[in-house]
Amino acid sequence: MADIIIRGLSKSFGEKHVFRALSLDFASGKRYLLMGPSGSGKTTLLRMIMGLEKSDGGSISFSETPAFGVVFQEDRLCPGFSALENLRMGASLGREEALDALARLMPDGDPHIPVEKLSGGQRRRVAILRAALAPGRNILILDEPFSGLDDESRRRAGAWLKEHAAGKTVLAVSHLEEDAPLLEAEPVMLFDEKGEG
Amino acid sequence: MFVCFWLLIWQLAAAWTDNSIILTGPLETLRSFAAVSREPQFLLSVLRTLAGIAAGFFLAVLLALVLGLIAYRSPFFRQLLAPLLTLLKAIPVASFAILAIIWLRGSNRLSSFVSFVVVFPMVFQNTVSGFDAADGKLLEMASLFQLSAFKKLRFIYIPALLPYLRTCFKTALGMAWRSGVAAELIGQPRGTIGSALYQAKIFLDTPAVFAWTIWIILLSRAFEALVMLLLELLERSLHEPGFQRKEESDGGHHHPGAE
Repeated sequence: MADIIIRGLSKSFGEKHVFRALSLDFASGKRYLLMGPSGSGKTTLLRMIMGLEKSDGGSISFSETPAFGVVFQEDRLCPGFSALENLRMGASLGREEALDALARLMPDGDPHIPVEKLSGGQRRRVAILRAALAPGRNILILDEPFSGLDDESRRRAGAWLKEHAAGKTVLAVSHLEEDAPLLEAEPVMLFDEKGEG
Repeated sequence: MFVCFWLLIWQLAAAWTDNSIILTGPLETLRSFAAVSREPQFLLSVLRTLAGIAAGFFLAVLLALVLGLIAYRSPFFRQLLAPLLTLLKAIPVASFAILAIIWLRGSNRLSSFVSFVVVFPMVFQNTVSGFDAADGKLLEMASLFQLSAFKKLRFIYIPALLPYLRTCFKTALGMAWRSGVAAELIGQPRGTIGSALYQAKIFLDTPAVFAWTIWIILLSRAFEALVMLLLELLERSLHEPGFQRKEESDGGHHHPGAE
């Protein structure tokens, strides 16, 4: 578990200011849903927290060394490998354990065929499983985790995530308010430069 | 069908010249092919040339993969090797063969040396390009998931490298055989295909030249098939048991639908 403390964070891309002096606290073991219009910097903030993007000013600190399990905006599954192989790559699970997890969250998909042959929703669920089951993770970063999923799959994935994210700090991004109750997450609004949210 | 057409053209051209020293026809070539294959030194010559070229090829591939990985990681090393590679690619095979004769004093390693220097720059450059082609977003994912170097190789680097190696090996193998035999022809190490070709040239034995040429093509194709099989096995070894490749799964029951 890890607290995430953000102080005076600023970031701009050329002339466009994404944040100016942004300060936020994320308590360890809690779930948050970052919301806001497109361009408000939700994904940029997640990338900065993960150390993939540099800030122009301010700081991000952690109460303990962070280890991230991530669902990226794109699935970032290894093409040419099956759902089972992709899951075991990130999650270090036994074969049977991995097949069980896939059967629970992706009962409609074949775990042995290359992931590019699965539907978008099926690939999304593999990415969710890989992030949530990666060993030793204390922070889960979920960038639009339910995109491409139908209502039933969203509910199932939300319930599954709540079960497996217990004790981890979860930062999710969505533009849909109804994703907050799915994850039982506290909504956090980010505003764009004009203050629109 | 098309092969038969060209065989017919060949036979007609041979009949028209009516001189087997200038152009040997397909039937006479076939007879010479059988005769050459029955020579007592035949198997030894084939094995010597094959072993020489194969040793040069595999050594070049091994070194090119290792140095290619280092060059991918170190721009300095990449720049350091650049002039050497330009030089290796510019030097004619004949010069390499003569240098090898001087340096190796007529040893049987002549074809190994020449195929090595011809293959190394090609495989090295393709190895670096293959590593460069590894998906940056997947590497970012791998770093966040703290994947081991072995997993990065298995899931990201080797799949990126394989298409480059497959294409480059086909060209490099052809080059290795052509240059290896040419080097033997120049250096004439005893009991090799190159020296047999040289003997055929001295005695104006054109049917034997044709016969040996067919053997070189067959050996080169068989060696290429072996190397491609090794790449195929490497690719299969990346997967877990039960994995269904694209073409196998295409005929299966699963059809992903939109959600």
